[in-house]
Amino acid sequence: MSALLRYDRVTKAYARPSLMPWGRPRSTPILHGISFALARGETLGIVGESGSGKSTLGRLALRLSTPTGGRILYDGQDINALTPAGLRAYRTKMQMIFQDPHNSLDPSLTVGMSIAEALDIHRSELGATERSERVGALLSQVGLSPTCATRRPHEFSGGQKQRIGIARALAVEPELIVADEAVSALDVSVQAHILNLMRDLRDALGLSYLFIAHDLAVVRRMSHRVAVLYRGRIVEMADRDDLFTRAQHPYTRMLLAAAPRRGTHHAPATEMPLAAPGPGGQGCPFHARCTLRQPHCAEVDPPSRTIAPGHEVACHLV
Amino acid sequence: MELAHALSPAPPVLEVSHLTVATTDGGVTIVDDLSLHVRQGEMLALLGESGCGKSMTSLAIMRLAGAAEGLHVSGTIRLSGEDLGTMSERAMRRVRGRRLSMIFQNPMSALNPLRTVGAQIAETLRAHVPLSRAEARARSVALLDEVGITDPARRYDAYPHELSGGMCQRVMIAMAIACDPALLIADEPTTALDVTIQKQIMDLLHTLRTRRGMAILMITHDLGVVASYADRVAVMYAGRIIESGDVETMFARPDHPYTGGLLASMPDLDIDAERFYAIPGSVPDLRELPSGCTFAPRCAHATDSCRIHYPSPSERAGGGFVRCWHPLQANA
Repeated sequence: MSALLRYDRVTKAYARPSLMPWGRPRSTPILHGISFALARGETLGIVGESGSGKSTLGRLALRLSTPTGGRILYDGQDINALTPAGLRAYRTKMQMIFQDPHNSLDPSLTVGMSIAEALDIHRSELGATERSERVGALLSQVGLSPTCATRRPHEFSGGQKQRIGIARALAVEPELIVADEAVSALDVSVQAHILNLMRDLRDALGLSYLFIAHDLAVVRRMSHRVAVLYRGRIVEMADRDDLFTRAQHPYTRMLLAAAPRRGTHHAPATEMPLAAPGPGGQGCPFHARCTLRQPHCAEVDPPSRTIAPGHEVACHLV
Repeated sequence: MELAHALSPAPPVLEVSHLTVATTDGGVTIVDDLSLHVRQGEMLALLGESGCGKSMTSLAIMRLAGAAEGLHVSGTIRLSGEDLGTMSERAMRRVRGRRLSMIFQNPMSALNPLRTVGAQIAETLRAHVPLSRAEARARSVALLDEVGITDPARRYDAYPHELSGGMCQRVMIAMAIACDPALLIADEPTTALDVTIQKQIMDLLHTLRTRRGMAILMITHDLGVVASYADRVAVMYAGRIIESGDVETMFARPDHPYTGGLLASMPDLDIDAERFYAIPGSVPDLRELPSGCTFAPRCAHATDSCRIHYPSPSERAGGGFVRCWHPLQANA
C-alpha cells in the first residue's frame, strides 16, 4: 500500500509571550518528532490524554496549523509547500468530523444549506437541481431522510447532528477524514450507530481515517493501526492486535489497565502515579509517572525502536 | 419489591418514592413514578442516556427543580427518614452542602475562578459549622490532603486555573465532603476527564465511601464506571426506571432488552468484534411517547400487548425488579 499521508519527523511548538514585555517569547513544544505513514483505506487510531497533542496532530494534517519542523506529505507532496491553487485542491481531499455535533453546525442555516455550502465552494459547476439532488443523496448515505434538508440543526438529536456533520464532510468527496473525538460526546447506543456508519463509509468509499480518540475500546474496533501519544511523542505504535495484546510501553500498559471493562467489579485501587508536573524537560517524557523508571530515564530521551514488524516503542526498558 | 429493606433496622439514607417531575403545563413528564433507595456506604448508579431524566431526578432530590423552573414535582424524598418535601426553604438550605451534597460534570466551571480553592472550601465549612478562620483553614488543608492533593498547604492558595481538571474535581469533592454528608450525589463526575484521571477520581470516591460510610448516588451514562464501582444499578429509559438490581447479576444476566442492548453496544476492550452492536431506532421524544411500553418500538421481543400496556414491575432473580412483559432471562 502506498502512503497517502506521511508525517516525517514533524515538530510543533507554540510561542508563548514572556511575562515581561521586553522578554523574548518562549517556545512551548507540543509535538516532537512525529513520524508515521497512513495508507489509502487505512485507519490510524491516535490515542492520548488531554494535552498530549493529539488534536494538534490532526490539525496539522488539515493545514489548520503549520509544523515548526519536519514535513507532512500527502501523495508525496509537501502540503506546506503547496501553491494557493494546490492548497484549494488539497482541501477537497481531506475533511474533518468534529467532536461537538451541537456547535459544529450553523444554527441559522438549514441542514441542506450547510451541506450545499461545501458543494458551492468545491463543486461550483453544479446547477441548483443537481446540487439539491446531491444534498439529498448525501443525507440518505448517512441514514437520514432527504427531507431533513429543509430543517434546522436544533430539530435534531446529537446523533443525527453528527450524521449531518459526516454528510457535510462527505460532500466534497474527500479521501482522508480526520475524526477528532467524533463520538465522545454521544451516548453509548448512539455511538455504536455512528461508528458503524463510519466503518461502512470507509469500506464503501475507500476513505482513510486519522481517528483521534481517548476511548481505547472504540479505537480498537475502528483502527487498523494505533499510535499512542504521550506529551507530544509517539511512545508506541503497532498494528491494532499487537498493541492491544502485546503492549510494551509502560504508559500504554497503564492506559489499558485504566480502561473500564464490563466484567470487572470493584477494581482494586491500583497505585497510579499522578499526572506529570509541568512541561517536559529532558529524558523520557513518561519517566515522572513510570513505575519502572531507571536513573538514566530522566536524562536520556529514549529513541523509537522497531521491536517487531510494524511495532515501534520508545522506551529504554523494552 | 421494596419490602426487604422495610424489615431492615436503619432507614436508608435516601428514599425516593413515586417521584414525578412534569412541566407545569402538563405537556411533558420528565420523571415518571420513580422510586429508589440508597443505604449507608452504598453506591447506587442511576444509569441512562441523555434525556432519560437522570439529572432531573438528582435536581429534584436536591429540591432544585420546582415551580420557579416551570416544573411540578410530586412524590416523597426522605433523607435519613426525614421528608425533604415538607421542609422550609431555610431548613433545606442547611441540608444542602451539609447532609446532602453534589458534585458535577465540569469541575472547572463549578469553581469560582476569582477565589483560591482553599478559600472556597473554607467558605463551605464556615457556612455550616461555627469555625474560626484559622480552624477553617486547617480543616480545609486536611480535606485537600484527604482527597489526594499533594502539598495541600501550598495548594490551598491556588486558583482553579492553576489546577488540572482532575485536581479541580478533587477540590469539588473536598468541598462536597467538608461537612461529612450522609449522601453525595455525583452527576457524571468523570465524563470530562481523561481515562487515567477518571480512574483516580472513581478510586477516590470508592475510598471515601468505605472510609466515611457515605452513600453515593452516581448519575452516569458510563457502563464501565457502573460495572467497576457501583453496588446496585437502576437503569432509566424515557423517565422511568425500567430495571434495577445488583450490578454483578444484572450485568451478567440483564432482564430488560434495553439493558441487554446497552451492554451489547458498550465498546469493550476485551471483546474483539468488527462491528458495534447498535440498538435499532433512537430514544423517543418525551412529548410523543408511544403507548404501552416506551421501548417497544425498538424491541425485538415486543408483542401486541407490549404496545398497549405499560409493563408492571416484576421481581428479578437475585433482587431488584424489571418492567418488561418478556424478560430476557425468562426466554433464555
